[in-house]
Amino acid sequence: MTLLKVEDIKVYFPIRGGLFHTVVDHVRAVDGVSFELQKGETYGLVGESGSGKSTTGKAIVKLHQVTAGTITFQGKDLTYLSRGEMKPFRKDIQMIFQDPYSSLNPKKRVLDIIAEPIRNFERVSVTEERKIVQQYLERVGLNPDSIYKYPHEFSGGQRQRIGIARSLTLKPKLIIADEPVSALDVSVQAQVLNFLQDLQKEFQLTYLFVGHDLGVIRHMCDRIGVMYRGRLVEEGTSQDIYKNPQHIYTKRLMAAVPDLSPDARGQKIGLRKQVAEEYKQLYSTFFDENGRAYDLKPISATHKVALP
Amino acid sequence: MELNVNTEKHGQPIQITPSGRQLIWQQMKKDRLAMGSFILLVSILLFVYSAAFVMDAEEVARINLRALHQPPSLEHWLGTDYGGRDVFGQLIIGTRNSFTISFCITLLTALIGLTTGLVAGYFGGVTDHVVMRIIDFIISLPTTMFIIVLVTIIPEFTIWSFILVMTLFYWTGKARLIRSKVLAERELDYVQASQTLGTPHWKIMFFQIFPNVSSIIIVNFILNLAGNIGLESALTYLGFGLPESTPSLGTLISYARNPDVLEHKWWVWLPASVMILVMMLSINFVGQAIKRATDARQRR
Repeated sequence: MTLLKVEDIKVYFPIRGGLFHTVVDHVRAVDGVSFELQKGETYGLVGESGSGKSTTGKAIVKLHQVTAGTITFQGKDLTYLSRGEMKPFRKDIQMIFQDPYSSLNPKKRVLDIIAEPIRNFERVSVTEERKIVQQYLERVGLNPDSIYKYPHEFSGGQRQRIGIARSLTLKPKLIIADEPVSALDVSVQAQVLNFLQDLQKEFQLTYLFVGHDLGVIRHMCDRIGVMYRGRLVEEGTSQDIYKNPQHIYTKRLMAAVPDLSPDARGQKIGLRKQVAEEYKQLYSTFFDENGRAYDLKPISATHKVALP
Repeated sequence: MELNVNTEKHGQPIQITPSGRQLIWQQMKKDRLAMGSFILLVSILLFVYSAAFVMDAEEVARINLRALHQPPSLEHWLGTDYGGRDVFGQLIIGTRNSFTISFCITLLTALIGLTTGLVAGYFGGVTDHVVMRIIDFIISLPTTMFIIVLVTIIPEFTIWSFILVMTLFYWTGKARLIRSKVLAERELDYVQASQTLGTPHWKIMFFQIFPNVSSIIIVNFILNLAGNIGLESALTYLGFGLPESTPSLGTLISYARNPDVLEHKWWVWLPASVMILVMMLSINFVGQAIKRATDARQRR
């Protein structure tokens, strides 16, 4: 069942300049991206910084206005809904933010932070609200007694869990995780990722997982879309992308994954050089004259590549 | 043997970090000057407000031709002015009036400035442009001239009209200050998080962003309070403030425009001047201590 369908969305930001501060050009942050999310799966968006992956995620929760294209959630078009009309869908689509330091209001207690969505959507008594908050705190592995603490009293990993608890309180169907572990150290990353997977099983969640760490994405995602300069260049299952990358950019991205074994180091360097060389030679066949990737074309049942 | 363990004592301490109020108190205790100023200020205000409450304002303002320009004596503790009015009584009521004016102007400008600043900074774009151009327009007006004209054409000039006229021109600075803070604050993720959680704009503005800019507002409020006492006195001294029938620190000082009073009858203007000096300094010292409490880098 298709939960979320994104069709050819574009997010352009105006560049203003000149004497009268007119729009001279646009930054094409997202330039025609389409994908579908099935219920219960994890879809990963990977790409380098500035490739538009976070912007895509934020456009779905309407933190950025979409310039063109449609976003369909459970068969309902969300693209041009007003704030008021969007409100019922906020309950079903939640977001986990990248930076656990700035995504929690420093002046609010944990209780107020996690209860914020409950206060917006449900009418519950104070004691009940406290009980719900404590229950979710316990679920994310924090001490339920810490509801009266402030965010700065927690470590980065704990803060991120508070952020996750906050996104869970409304029992959403879709969670957009915008690089949820990139600000955490590696030991905590594993904890949080496994925990996200446990939650997925428990609450039948669907994740749109935005990230640049290829190891993390591979660990988490069923299907992956590779983004470059605001466009998808390749889409497929984890196997397709990691074992059989077809697009030259994906190949280069995969070659960049570090290998921990020292024996393979020399071989890896050779491979990287070879791919870089190939990238230079084949650039013009994979990208059009403006450096824009072509539209996706299916090469197997699950695998799509941007080819001319 | 029965084991009696008091479990409550083993619980975690409820709050480890000091709250804002505790921080301010710590700073005040460390800074003796601020502590002294605070005590002095509170006692002056308590005395002035309770004494003015008991005192009869009309009695103080009544002209007594048999007691013109008397030096301080037991009957008139600070002497009398050219109308035979008791300077001490005028000082008490004047201080009350001046402080009330200053406080109300500061409060009103803070309220208006806060709301417009929050709205302009939070929404940005067209809203911000419109609000900021209105503010630019008000700032570009020759404020003093406008106040003088308004004072002249308003038929019954009272404390309240004075406060309103002042507020009309002085809220712009606050709005700008708050807008600049909000502009920085709204880029933080917690604001976006609130938006995705379905929190309405006004709640985000007043319950999410406001607490994070409140420290600067409090500091600005207190420092402005001191400044606005001077504002009233200066205008009244120039003759464009309150009429003599409403005594204020400014009216008392304005008697010093007469060279004879300035040279020989110091008791008329000196107490009011000292009162302004003491109040402004102590408010400033307290304000500095609070400023340090709100900024970790300046903390002692």
